[in-house]
Amino acid sequence: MTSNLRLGVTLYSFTPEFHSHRYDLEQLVEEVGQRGLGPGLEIVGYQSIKGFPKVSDEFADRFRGLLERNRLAPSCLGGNVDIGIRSDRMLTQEELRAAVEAQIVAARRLGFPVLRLQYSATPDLLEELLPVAEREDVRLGVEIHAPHSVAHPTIQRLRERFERLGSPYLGFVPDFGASTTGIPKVFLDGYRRRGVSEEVVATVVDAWQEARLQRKDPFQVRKRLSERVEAMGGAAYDVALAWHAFEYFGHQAPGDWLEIMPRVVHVHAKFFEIEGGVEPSVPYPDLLRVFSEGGYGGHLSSEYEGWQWDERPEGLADGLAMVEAHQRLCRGVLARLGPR
Amino acid sequence: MSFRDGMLQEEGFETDDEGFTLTIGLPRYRSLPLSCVNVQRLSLDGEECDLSTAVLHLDGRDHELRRLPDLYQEWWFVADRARLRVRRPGGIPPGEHDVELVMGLRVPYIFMEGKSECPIDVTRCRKRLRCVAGRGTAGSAGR
Repeated sequence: MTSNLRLGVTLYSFTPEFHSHRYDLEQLVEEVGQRGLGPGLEIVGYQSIKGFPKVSDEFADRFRGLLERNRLAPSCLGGNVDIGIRSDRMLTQEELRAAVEAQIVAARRLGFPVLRLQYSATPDLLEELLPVAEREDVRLGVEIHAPHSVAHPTIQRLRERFERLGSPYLGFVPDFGASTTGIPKVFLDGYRRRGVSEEVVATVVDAWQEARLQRKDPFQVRKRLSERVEAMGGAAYDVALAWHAFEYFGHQAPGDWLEIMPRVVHVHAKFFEIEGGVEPSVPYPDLLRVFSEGGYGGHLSSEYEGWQWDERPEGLADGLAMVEAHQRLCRGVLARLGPR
Repeated sequence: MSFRDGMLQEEGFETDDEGFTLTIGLPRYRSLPLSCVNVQRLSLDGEECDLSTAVLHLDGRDHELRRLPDLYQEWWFVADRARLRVRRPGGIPPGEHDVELVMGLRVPYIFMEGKSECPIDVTRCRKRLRCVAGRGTAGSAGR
């Protein structure tokens, strides 16, 4: 049997193209269709839709028609669990429940079978939302993104609750950025350009690799490292480098995803750069083998994130070309896996 | 050029008798409520601007900067531009200026467990921009 994985893309990959008005939502979807970057199409609600989570009938009809015309399948709607929007206090569980419920309804209206949520959704909140998810027929997936991993206590508590509730409507969205083997060059170069010294870069890289090899708690390491880097007294972006090195690049072994495989409802195939057809920091051959052999048969969204730090004077990389290169990499790996 | 350079737009930098206006983008991948947006610092040719009476014009509405922390129901759609209006009697000389803007954006879904605060993502942008004589009103914002 060959892999049932279906490729696709999240429009998050094209954030700079959208933000700069080079493409609007419709043009991006058409570009994805024409270049064959589907069949799965994912969007971030608060990026692509003005007024989200409110979605008019007219917009929903137009959006569904646009995907159909381009032979794309809605794969996942990126939702946000914004517990901290108020300046004076965190939202109450009741306020947060209402905010997420509106996004579940939006997912159904737009035709998305999955809504991505974040760890700011507690086990209790998800249990409360389960009837809504069932009613709307939308599966909820909490993203597991660095510095979290399947073993982190916050994720463990969700896993325990999901096991107890035993519903196919509650699961996870693994982000491959949680399973990296190094800090990408595009990230480090971006911070060098912002004035971070080689000494600080080396300090962060060493601490990151040590945490990886010794399987240390990334949250603890990051806290101490940020203090250390701040004491080095350097440039404005020093602490940001230390913080984000752990925020974007995780240490979880690819095989550990097997622990939650039956609960995986969608995947973010994160990548930062492609060199010689390979993503140097994300072990794609291992990851795709784990998901394929683990029996995952859903969508795999190419998620390009290198644009965040791509500040080369000659201009940003073309996100569409990056995703094409990424999907060539994935197809190559999947073909080599062959029958199992 | 980087994604974050979109924070200071090349077009729509205008001066008049009562002050000057900049066109700014939201340096984030997604829309945010104005309560998560903090214009921390603006300098013009190395000189700090007084933002205590500055106004953000967005989507046909004016918001005093100092009121932004309360506006958790007013959203800034990520692809829309805002106009930042700084009061200064006499305006500024038209022509090129070094502009530096620092914005702090709260990330509302990330928090340290056991703590009730979210991290602030700080973006700095510095550009040499050409200022033209304008009409003095906030003018057109948005797409």
